[in-house]
Amino acid sequence: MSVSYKSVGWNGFKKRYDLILVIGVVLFLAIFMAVGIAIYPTVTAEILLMRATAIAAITLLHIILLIGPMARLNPMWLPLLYNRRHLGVTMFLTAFLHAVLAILTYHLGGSVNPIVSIFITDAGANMSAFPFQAFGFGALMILFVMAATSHDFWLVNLTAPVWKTLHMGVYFAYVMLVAHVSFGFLQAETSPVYAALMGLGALTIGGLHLRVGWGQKSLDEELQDNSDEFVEVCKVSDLTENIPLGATVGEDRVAVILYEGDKISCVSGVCQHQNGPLAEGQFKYGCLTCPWHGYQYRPNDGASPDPFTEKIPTFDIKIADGRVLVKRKPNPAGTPVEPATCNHR
Amino acid sequence: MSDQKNDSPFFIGWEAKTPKPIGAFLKKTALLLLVSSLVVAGIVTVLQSTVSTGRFDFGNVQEFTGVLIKSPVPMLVADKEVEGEKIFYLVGPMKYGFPTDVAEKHHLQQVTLKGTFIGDAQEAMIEVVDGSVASAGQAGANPLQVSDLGEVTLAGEIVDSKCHLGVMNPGRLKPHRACAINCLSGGIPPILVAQTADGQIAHYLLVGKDGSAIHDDVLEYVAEPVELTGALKVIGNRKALYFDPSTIKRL
Ligand code: HEM
Repeated sequence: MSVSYKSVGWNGFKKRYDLILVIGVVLFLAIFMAVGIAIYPTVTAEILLMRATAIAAITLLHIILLIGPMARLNPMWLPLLYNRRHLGVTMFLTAFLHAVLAILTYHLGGSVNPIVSIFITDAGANMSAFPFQAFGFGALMILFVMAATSHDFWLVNLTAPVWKTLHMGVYFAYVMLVAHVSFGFLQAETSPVYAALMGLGALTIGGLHLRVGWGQKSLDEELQDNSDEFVEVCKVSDLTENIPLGATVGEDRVAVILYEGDKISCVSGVCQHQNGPLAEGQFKYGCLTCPWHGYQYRPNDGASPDPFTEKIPTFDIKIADGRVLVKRKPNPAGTPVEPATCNHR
Repeated sequence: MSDQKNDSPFFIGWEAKTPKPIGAFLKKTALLLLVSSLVVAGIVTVLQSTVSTGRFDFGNVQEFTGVLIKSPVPMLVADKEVEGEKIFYLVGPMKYGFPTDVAEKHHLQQVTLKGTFIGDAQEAMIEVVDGSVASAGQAGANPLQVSDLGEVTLAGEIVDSKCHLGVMNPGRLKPHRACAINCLSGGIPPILVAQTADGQIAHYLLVGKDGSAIHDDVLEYVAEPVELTGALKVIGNRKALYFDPSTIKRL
């Protein structure tokens, strides 16, 4: 909730989340290094650390990409999403350390500028010399932009749709990293376990996103109806008190909510903060509450309670023969709408 | 998508307390993610297979004395064994070879120099401190015998000798390719890493057909499986292949 941009404050949950995160990364690097040195005493420490940070970062990236679809399939995962930006920034910093080590060891100290060397020296003329480090560089740049704009300050100033699009860049970064690993490390370290791990990671992330995307699409198709001013979104009997129901009206995702015993309202299903799915939230403390960061909107006017200033569009609503009908054209954000009433119970 | 019920626990990040069932679920999930990540760390580090026996005594600069030889690559034949070795290839700091003017000047002279030991089970090298080479006597005869073993064809991987003998371990194959190219361009001698019939690793110093140094001519073949044909010679106890780089075959 925000008065200005400083929205998601520190609390015990976030502190615990970050503590576990830091302990996890440190333990990861420590285990990788200690076991590596114990088995291969002649290994060069910088290279082992370069590998440890790389594998830690890509493992963390998989966890980050897992949380989104898992939270849609099982809302119990939502709290992990709440503070996901800290995972992202930590992952970027770990990957950055890897890149710095790679540049210092493999590119610095020769006659070619080390950054130029990433592109020139690593690029070969045939398939077995296919460049891989340029992919790492591209991914690092995307992750940098994402980490640098991760604060809500940027979310507000770039607006949520622009920010969201920018942060979709993580999928480009992911694809580039699969290439980075496949054309690099996997060409040298030929244990099939490595290829299997990378394949399993990519399949899991790809598969989960497809599955969630698929579900969303069939829901959308079901509810598209272009013929009427008012469209049916559900039956009154489909509604559970305090639990919003998601639907698509025209082009808009909406949330229909039954609350305070017999009131039914319909508001935009897209949170103003980070475009979170309001239809997956709950009615709490008199407001429809976003599952992502707890942003709140009154169902009757789409406005956040004082002193907060967020507003979302509302939809005119009526009930006929136990069917909930919603006007296709949204009202401007924050417009009060008389809730429909039902004798549901 | 989610099938929430009226009494489904609901997490609001800014609330002080996380609902109990969610808290319990989170503990389990976080632990599972943490443990599986650490297992990944263990598996990945254990299965690395390209680490060699090479080492670099970084930070330990020693004094060496012996006869300096300029070709086919700069070498020192030390007066006494260091780490069980008497013949050392010489290279400069970072990604540079030993300066040719210094090698020229001290060819076949008794010298002292300061440097850092680099070496694996078969070969040794010194990273010479810039400006540390000093004459300690007149030029004499070449102490190294050269014997001809005839024409051979060898399969293996071209690497830069400095990294592969220990400065970067693992220092070969695709991840290290760009670095090897930088090093070879800087004048560090190339070697061929080959597997002998009995599965042992053998190194061959790579020089031109006429015994001249080669660097740039092999760059495009670095870190790939290749086949080389040329004259095998043994210099002291070091194997060297004298060959024409334009005849390199990719495998
Ligand atoms: C400027 C950017 C980058 C450069 C120059 C770079 C360079 C390299 C190099 C040289 C290797 C092979 C290292 C070796 O095994 O000896 C490597 C491997 C790898 N890199 Fe990068 N990288 C960059 C960015 C990234 C980023 C952003 C990630 C994100 C997680 C990443 C993940 C990995 C992974 C997972 C490996 C395989 C493990 C390893 O070999 O270390 N890299 N990278």
